[in-house]
Parts: sequence; C-alpha cells; structure tokens
Amino acid sequence: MIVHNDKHSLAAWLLCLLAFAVVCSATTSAAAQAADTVRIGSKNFTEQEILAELVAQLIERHTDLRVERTFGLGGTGVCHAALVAGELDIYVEYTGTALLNVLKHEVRTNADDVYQIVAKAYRERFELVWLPPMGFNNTYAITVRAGHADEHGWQTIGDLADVAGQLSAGFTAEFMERPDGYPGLRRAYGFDFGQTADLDPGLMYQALADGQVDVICAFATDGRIAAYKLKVLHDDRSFFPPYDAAPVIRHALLHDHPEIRDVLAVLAGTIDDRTMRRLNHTVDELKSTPAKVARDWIESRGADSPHRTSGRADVPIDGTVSIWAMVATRRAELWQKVIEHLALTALAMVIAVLIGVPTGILIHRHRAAAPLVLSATEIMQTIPSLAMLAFLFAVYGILGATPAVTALVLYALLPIVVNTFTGLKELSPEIIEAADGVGMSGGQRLWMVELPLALPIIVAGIRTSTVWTVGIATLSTYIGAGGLGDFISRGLARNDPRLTLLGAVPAAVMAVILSLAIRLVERHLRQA
Amino acid sequence: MIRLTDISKSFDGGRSHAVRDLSLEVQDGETLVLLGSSGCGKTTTLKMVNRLIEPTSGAVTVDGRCVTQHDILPLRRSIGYVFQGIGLFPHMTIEQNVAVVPKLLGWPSERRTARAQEMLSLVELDPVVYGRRRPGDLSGGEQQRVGVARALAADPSYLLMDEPFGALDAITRDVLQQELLRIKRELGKTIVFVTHDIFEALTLADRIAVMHEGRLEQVGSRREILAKPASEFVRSLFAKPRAQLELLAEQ
Repeated sequence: MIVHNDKHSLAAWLLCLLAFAVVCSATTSAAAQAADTVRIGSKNFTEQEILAELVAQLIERHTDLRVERTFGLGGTGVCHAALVAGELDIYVEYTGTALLNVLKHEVRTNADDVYQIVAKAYRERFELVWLPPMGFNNTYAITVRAGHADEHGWQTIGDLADVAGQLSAGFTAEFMERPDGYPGLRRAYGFDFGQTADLDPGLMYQALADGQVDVICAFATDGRIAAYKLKVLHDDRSFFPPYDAAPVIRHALLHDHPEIRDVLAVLAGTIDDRTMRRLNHTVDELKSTPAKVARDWIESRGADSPHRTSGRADVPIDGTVSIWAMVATRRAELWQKVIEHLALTALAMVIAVLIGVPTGILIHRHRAAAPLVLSATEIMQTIPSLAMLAFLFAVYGILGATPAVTALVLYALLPIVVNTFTGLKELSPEIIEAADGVGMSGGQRLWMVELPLALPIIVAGIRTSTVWTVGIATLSTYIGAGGLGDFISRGLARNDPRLTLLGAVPAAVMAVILSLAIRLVERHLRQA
Repeated sequence: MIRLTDISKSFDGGRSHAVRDLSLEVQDGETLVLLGSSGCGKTTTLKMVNRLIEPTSGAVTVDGRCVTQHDILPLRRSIGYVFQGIGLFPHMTIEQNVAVVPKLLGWPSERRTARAQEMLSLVELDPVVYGRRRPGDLSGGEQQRVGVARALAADPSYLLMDEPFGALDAITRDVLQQELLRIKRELGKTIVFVTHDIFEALTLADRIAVMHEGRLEQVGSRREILAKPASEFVRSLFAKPRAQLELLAEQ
C-alpha cells in the first residue's frame, strides 16, 4: 500500500477552497431559477444517490414539477455551497455533518438536540429548511476485518490504542480533514495510526477485506460491512455525533411549492438502519441502480398512484451482466455522456485557441513579456485538477459547465501559447526579411507569411491540448458538469469496474480519435 | 535617380561602423555594382535605400524625395528587391510568390495571374509547368529566376539585388548574368547590384562602386577603375583581371 503523505496537505487545501466556496456563495444572491424545475443534488456515494433518487422520483410522481438531477458532486462543501447559492434546491444531508462541518459547532451526542440546533441555524443563516429525519443514522464506523478483531479481541475503538502504531488506516479524503473525522478521533482517543492512505469511499471496503489496510472509516449503513465480514468497533468514548439523514430544501422553493413538503413526508422515519443497509447493498453488491432501488422502495410502500413519469432512463442491471450488455442497455445514456464530454472539450478548445494563439502572437511581438506569460501558463498547469475545479467553483459560485470549461481552458492554454510563440520565433529570418522587403505591413506579414508557416506547429500544440482536455474533462463530474466522468465516478463510488470502464474507455477512444484527426490536419498542412 | 548623401550606419551606439560618410548617385537606367569583400558595408548600404535599415546619419533620396518622407510600405512596393537568400515564401505557389507585390498593391486577381505568367516567361520559366509548383520543388537557379520575376512583377523603376547569384554554381551564375543583361536591355531598369565577385561586377556593371571597411574607395566605369585605380586597395583588387586583360591584348 502506497501512502501519499503529501495528499493530506492537498486535501487540506481543497477543503480551504471549499470553505471559501461556502463563504463566496453565501454572499452571492440566489440565482434565479426556472419556476417549475426542482434541482436535486447528491454527494458522490451510493447512499446519497439512492436518497436523491427517492426525493426526485417522489416529486416526479406526485407533482407537475420537472426534476433536474445533479448527482455525484464532490463532497459536502460543494453541495452546501450550491444549495446556498441557489444552484441546487434539495439534497439529503446528515445532522452531524451539518453541525460540525458546516456550522462548526462542538460535538454533541443527543440526536434530537443536534437536529433542533441544525434546523434552527440553517433556517436563520441560510434560509434552508430541514425536513424530518428519515430514520437512520449513517454514522462513521471505525471498522476492521472480523477475523482480525477476533484474533486480538477488539470490541471498541479504545481497544486499538496499544496497537494503532502498527496498523494502517484507509480513510476518505473528507474524513481525513473533518473535525468529526481523523483529527478529532486522534484527540478523543489519544492515538495515531501507523500509516494512513486517502481512499475513495467506494473502494475502502474492498481494500480492508483484501488486507491492504487494517482500519477504515466505514459508513454504518453500508451493506458491504456485513457482506465482506467486517466488524464495526464500538465508539466507547461517544466521539461521533449522530448523523441522521434528512432532506434539506431551499425555503423559497418550499414557499412556492408547499406540496413538496407533503410529497416528501412519506420519507419521514420510514427508512431505518437495516433498510438503508439493504438498499445500499442492492446497488453496491447486487449491481442494481439507485434509480431502480428507489423505484422499488416507493412501489413497495404501496400507497402510490401509478407512474406519472418514468424517472431517469435507468435500466435495471443484473450484477452478472457483461460490460457489453451494459453498453447495450445504456446506449442512450452513454451516447448522451459522450456528447456532453465532446461538447465540454470542444467548447474549451475553441476558447483556448481563441485566447492562446493571439497570446502567442503577442508575446512573439513583445518579446519582453514572453517569460512572464509563459511561466504564468506553466504554473496554471501545475495546479492539481481537482483543486482547480474547487477553486473555480468558489470563484463562480455555480456548478456545471462554466467553471468546468474555465478549468479546461486554463489547462489547454500552455501548449497552444508555447507552440504559437515557438512556431513564429523559429521562422527563418530570411523569410521575414523578404516579407518586409516586398512591402508587407505587420498584419500582412502575420496573415500571409508567419501564421501559415507556423500553422503546423500551432496545430501540433492544439493536438496536445485536446488530448489533455479529454482526460481532464472526466473530472468535471465533481462539479456537476456531466460527461463521461459521471460513469467513472459512479463506478468508483459503487466499486463497479464495468461502470468505470463505461466512462474511461470511450474517453480514451475519444482522445485517440481526436488526436489522429488533428494529426491528419497537421500532415496536410505540412505537405501544403 | 537614387542619391546617398553622407550616409553612415553605426551599431552598438556608435562603437562599430558598418558604413561611414558614403555619398553616391545612381543614374536612371544604369547598373551600379557595389563591390567589396564581406563586411565592407555594401549590403547595409543597399538596405538603407528601401529602409530595411535606417541610416544613423545622412540622407537617402529616391526620385528627389528623401526616403523618410515616403510612406515605408509604398516605398518598398515600388522598389524591386532580390534577396541574398532568395527568400521565396515556401507555402505559396511560384505564381503566388511572383504576384505578391501586385497583391499587396490590390491588383485584381486576373491581372495578377496574367502578370505572374508574363514575368515567369520573361525569366524563361514556363508558367504552365512552374506556376503551380512550390519553391521547394525548384533548383537554386530556378528559384533565383523566380526571385527576379517577383522583384519585377509590379514594374518598379528600381531593382535592388543583394548578391542574388552568390550561392549558385558557376555555370548557372553565368547564364543568369546573361539573362539579367537581356532583361535590363528589354525593360531598362535602374539596378543596384551587390557582389563580392570582381568578374560578376565587370560583367554586369555600367559603373562600379568599390567599398572597403565601410567607406567608398572609388566609383567609376570599368575602364576608369581598371586604368586609374584611386587607391592601393582598388589596384590590388583588380590586379588579376587586369593581368588577364593585358594577356588578351598581347595576343
């Protein structure tokens, strides 16, 4: 197991940026929204998607409102900021998370107290309403392999104190930084684990079962705890607060559409820990989809009228179907994601070329500015992609294509600027003198001689950028911009390699095809 | 008429001089050859005529007007220039290369094409064969013919030629020198021709201007320079051709 210590500082930085996003967005006026559309968000793990689907499908069935789904967002910070900014209308949050991470209060252990505090503070500070809790407590659960625990007689977290130094822990990035995560846990229990690794929430159970790590911060409602023969250690110092799940909704929306409160009332107190674990298990291990699981749950409640809308075009998936069958059944969705991905890439590239080529020309003409501009674009390149996305989300305060395309443009600039500059700089001085000597103006020399001759090199830069952009665009999913990254992150969240491949393979193919196409253009230009 | 009056060009803020206090007149219709070894300032002098280089001091007049009073682009378009490195545009066809100045002057496209074909014929390149090719497909001699055709395309009164045949083999050079003499007879241009080749100077020049270390040593007809060298430098420069001529005379 490779342990990335430097990832911690990155995670810290990311969280700072997300916190900044919260502040920024809180000061931004709520964006105007289409009156008849409800935008529902979720974080990037299975349970969140199931709950978001439940909310979405209930609204679709029982109201005339249109539902827009923005699932798989990169963490609490993004969801909360989007809700405050009016970019989302509803998502499901956990009381303990709101108390500690959003409101920054002290830890409390009484579930009712926490709910009251959180509901009041959200109403007053953010004009957000907490609907009644759904009935389960998805607490963090410090979890080990059952066999390992039996061997050493571990029952409680406190039992690990003496051996923690020899254990390696796999925690989610969020847990690594939250006050009710590892930092608080170390203080409460007074020990450090020997090694820690940041793991994707979808992967940590398998990593623990396989023995790659010894301890994880499981979610109590995850079906994989039982399925993988894992053991949750008792929180003997009552460190973790309650994490009761409940929909959080913008007050303005509830005011305009009070019927939503009635429609979602069916969720109050009806999903207990066991039910939630079963629903998660159905998606994570039996390879169903959140949409189908939600639909089955709603229909099993019986008291429902027939479908009014079909919900998302999700097709039930059998855990054993091959990737080819998956492609076949999800063709429409796959096609849509490919188009989204292509659109993100194309838009970013057009803007990058429109900015990058003139910039390259300018620094060629004004050579003194070249080192400054080139190092600026180089520095841009070194910013980790997720940090860039989080930062731009903070700057814009909105989700979706705008911050995503901005990030892609910033990454795409370097090869275009460098190649334009180099292509012009390396033209033969004799040709330039001839252009001047026959009486061309600066502009005529540029259009008639310099750009045509530098074009193959400029296009080579555009090709490099395009390939990068297709790759980086897969991360746009974390700020809700869609594209093939949606499949990749869902695949990671559900530990389903088929879904990951469904996103990764088309992205790779797209990069190769675009690269070949641009190479053909280049060859044509070089011959001409 | 082109007149250079006391022109100097220095670089590095006056530390090194390419040309010092040079005065010279080029009469209409004559071929004046600027002759000298590398670094003597002859190319710098030539470039000061169409302002590819600006003099540090002194004045250049073309047709009685100081070049600094001309707009720079019309000035350059009205003076044909044949470059040392040929300087054809590699991405353009031969026809487009020849028609580049007419294009800058805004001629309509049929007239440009007709003119380019006429010019190619003048330098003995078949427009049908060569018109659509690119410079890379041509030999050095053919490229320099195109260079001459390009310089002549807008029918300039003046032609500046910067060692145009320097990189060619001796046979091709001889042929092109004869072509140039023929073209000059046909079109009657005023030519300033830069070379370091004494025999080329004797072949082409109506008058020769000998330059040495940035200064003008002597200007005169072939006969004057051979018979009455103004300095020891000029005498030694022409020692070899003079000996050959004397040999011929004895025979």
